[in-house]
Amino acid sequence: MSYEELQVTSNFSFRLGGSHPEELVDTAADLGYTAIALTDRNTFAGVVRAYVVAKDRGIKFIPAVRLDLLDGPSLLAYPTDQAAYSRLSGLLTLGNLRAEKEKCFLHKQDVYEYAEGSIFVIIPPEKITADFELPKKLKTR
Amino acid sequence: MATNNVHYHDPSRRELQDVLTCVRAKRTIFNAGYLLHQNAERYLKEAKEMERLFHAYPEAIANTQKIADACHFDLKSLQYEYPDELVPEGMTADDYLAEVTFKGAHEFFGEKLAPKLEKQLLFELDFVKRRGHAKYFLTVHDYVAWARSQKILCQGRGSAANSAMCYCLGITPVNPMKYRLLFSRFMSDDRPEPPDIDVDFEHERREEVMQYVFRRFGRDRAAILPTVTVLQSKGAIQDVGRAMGLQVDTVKKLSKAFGELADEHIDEETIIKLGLNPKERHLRKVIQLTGQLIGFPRQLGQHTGGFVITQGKLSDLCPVFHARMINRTNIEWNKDDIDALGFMKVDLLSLGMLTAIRKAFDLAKKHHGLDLTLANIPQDDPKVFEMVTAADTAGTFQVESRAQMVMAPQLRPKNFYDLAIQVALVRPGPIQGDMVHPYIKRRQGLEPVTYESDEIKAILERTLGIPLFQEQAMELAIVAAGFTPTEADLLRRSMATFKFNGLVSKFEHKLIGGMTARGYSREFAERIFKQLEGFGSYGFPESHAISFAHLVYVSCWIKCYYPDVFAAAILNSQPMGFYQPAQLVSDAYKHGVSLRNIDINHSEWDYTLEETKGKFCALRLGLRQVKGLREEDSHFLTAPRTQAFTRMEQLAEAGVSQAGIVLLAKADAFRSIGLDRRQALWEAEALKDRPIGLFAGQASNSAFEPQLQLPFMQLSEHVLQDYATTGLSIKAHPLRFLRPQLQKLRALTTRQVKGVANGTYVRLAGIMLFCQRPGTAKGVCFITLEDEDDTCNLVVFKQNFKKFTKEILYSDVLCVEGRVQQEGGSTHLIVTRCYDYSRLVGQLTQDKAAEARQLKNSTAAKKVDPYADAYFENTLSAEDLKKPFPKSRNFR
Repeated sequence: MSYEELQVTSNFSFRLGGSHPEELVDTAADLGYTAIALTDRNTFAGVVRAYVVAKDRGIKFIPAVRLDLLDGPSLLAYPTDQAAYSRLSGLLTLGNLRAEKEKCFLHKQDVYEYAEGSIFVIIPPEKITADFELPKKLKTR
Repeated sequence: MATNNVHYHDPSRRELQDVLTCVRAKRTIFNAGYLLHQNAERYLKEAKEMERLFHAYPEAIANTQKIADACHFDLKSLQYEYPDELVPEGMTADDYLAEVTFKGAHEFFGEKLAPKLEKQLLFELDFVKRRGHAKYFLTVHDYVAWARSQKILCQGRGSAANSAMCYCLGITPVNPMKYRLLFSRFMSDDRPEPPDIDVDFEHERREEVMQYVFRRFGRDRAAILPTVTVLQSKGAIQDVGRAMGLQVDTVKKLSKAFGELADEHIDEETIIKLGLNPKERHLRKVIQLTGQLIGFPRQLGQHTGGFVITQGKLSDLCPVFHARMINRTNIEWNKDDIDALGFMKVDLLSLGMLTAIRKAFDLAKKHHGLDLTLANIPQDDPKVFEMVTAADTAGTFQVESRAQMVMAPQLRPKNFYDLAIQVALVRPGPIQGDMVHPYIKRRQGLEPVTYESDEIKAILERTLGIPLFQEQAMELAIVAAGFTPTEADLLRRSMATFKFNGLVSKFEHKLIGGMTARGYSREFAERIFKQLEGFGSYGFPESHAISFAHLVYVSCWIKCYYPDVFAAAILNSQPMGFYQPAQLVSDAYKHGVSLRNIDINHSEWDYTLEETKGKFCALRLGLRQVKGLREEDSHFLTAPRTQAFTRMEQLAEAGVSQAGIVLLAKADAFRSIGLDRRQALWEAEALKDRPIGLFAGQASNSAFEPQLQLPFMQLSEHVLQDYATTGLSIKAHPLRFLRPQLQKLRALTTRQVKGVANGTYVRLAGIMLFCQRPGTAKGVCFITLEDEDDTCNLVVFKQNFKKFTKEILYSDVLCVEGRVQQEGGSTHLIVTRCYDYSRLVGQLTQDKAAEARQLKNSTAAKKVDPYADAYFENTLSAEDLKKPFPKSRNFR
């Protein structure tokens, strides 16, 4: 079992990531990774670019997303199949259409509704405090 | 799950990531503190390193692999499906397309179709059927037909648009049976991608079509493609400079150095010029980081009009979000992303010229009783081509630019196809590829037209042996160098998309090798390659050129026969095109159209045509020309116009705001009630104590005051104030008043310059209309200078531009010296010296503004004349008069 990098922020998380998706995938391929994910904040805007390079370099690309919620810890979401991907895309659409441009308002409750088929990873907060606990419905499969 | 929370691919990017953090938090690198990452570890590490770091938690490492293995979804498996509902039940899309196409064919060509046409249509339909694109054509047909039904002008272009089928479907008005059929040639079965048809709509009414598409297919199935706007050098240096704590004025200086006319990259010389030290480490870091930041996505902006329409829900494929503009929704992927996944998109573009043409058609109907359409304008009229050859094309589509006007007398277009060639030829690409002069020489018969072989002749004959269009480049690659159609298409793409610039060179080896192997000389092969390389970013498809040429012809025809209609239509579609209203108005005058000043009793918001005077209708200037006037005020003015205004109060009673009345007075629009500018301003001031409410209608106090004799305004002052308030003057050209002084300074007029011998050293003064420094011209700057007679083209070479940048960019009246170059019917002045003659403008007024300042500052004056303050407040301030002329349009 070897390590794959599954939490990657590109510059499509505007003013957060310091590299283009293409650069990240290219480097992953150089380092001998067999798969890499892209987890930009509430967006799939960079995934096609990453996918094109991954296809070219012959590594697996996982289009994923980091969900920043209004009322809970941030989640990494990995769709296992197309239906799950479509659900995540629908979830982001829901959040986008609720908010003005460049904002995406999502609640924990929304995630439960669109969660089927995706694997979620909870990102611990900067400081672990007493009130940080795992929501019961979301478990790593 | 183990993860390194990667934020950059390489540790060296940490600095840039910190800068981004600062930009986000609006801090500088010095006070961002804990906002920054603690270390530079968030890069993509080797798996081994990660395993070492997490050696205590092997399960966490294993989980990454588990999750990766569990994800089976590949973006490739997203299947795009065309929308279904346009096909009537019980029919296949192919059958329905054939039915609609033939129905259109009979409408255009009558019951009996020519066998050639029928064969072509069947061939095209069969091709579309094999490729499964019938629904694509039906989709385009659907919204084009809707636009037609709403009387919105539109026209399609693109390789697939120039087909017999699209003509019959009403998508394009250019009869492809008259010109070469481009459709079949390259839509080979090798290319799996969807066809590409761009449709241009009137820019003022495109939104209606877009909203129709949203309604027709539903907001969950149709969305606009965004453009990923990326940071340009100017924005990047601002971001980095601020984050790195540079002083505000330093940042400003640097970002200005990247300004519109400066060179793109910052070299040491420029930095020294800015008074900065290029060797200073902090600054060098700023510039290095700026280099990295350029090209970073900044936001998802509005695309020019690409739509994705799907059968199922769009959000199943990609997230949808609200655009900034109301009632528009976008998807998160741009054109390239969509291309990579093979989705269909349709382009609904907007074109200002179509708006102008529609307005011209409306005016032609109203004033000349003509029923014009894009299709029924008389074709192949020699007078139109004579006009283009004489470069008398200000305001027309495409051929109005300086470069086009210089080339037209040499190209001498004689027919429609010549116009298509001219549109494609006079562009940066062909100019850079050194195709223009060989073509002109051949066209004028100064150079023999030869072909290396018959197969080459077949491809290049229509452009006299010079490859000019993308289609020809592809044909050449296939026929002469043995490319497969797919490879040729790759070649086309690398020519079409600027970001792949340089990619064309990759084909060098293959193209030259292929051609020499087929018996062509190496020299010929290299020349062809060089020409193709010159296409670079700017190669133009023949299909676009033909569609554009059609609009060129239509706009020229209108200008040629109805300059009154043409001027009003263009002026009412501003801003568009190359020229300022001032030039368009004076151009109309030169063509025999009488002009009428802006007036409260006669002007509408738009320019209008009045009774016939001479050959044409008189052109009444529109209120839209009054700077700062709100359209609402103009409606109060024009709506109750059953009887003329006779007193200024009536305007206020009709609802025009005080500010609006003052603007109209400043614009000298009260002449029809016997008030000139100065009197009107005086009256406008009195309006403030107009009896209102219960006392409305009664004479105001000021009516009992004795009439003042106001100082008379000179014509030169009026002209200057016309320029300041409306951007133009129909009273006179300001240079006319400067002529006596200019004569003493030995400056010639543009007309005199046109008459002097080649090589004469002259001095010329005027107002600068354009200043252009195309990237292709090696730093040469082209200027168009205007005086009371005409315009003159100036050429300023790089070192002189550097020397006189200040004079060129900041003079109101620019004076230049240089040698006259008379060549091929056009005159150029090769500039060697420039002077700023702006101070002459001051002499046009009696300098009331300066007087005003003095008066205002002295309280004594106030005591003497209590109205002085109010009066001078309403006259133009010195600030207004400082820049009376419209700023020249400067571009690359």
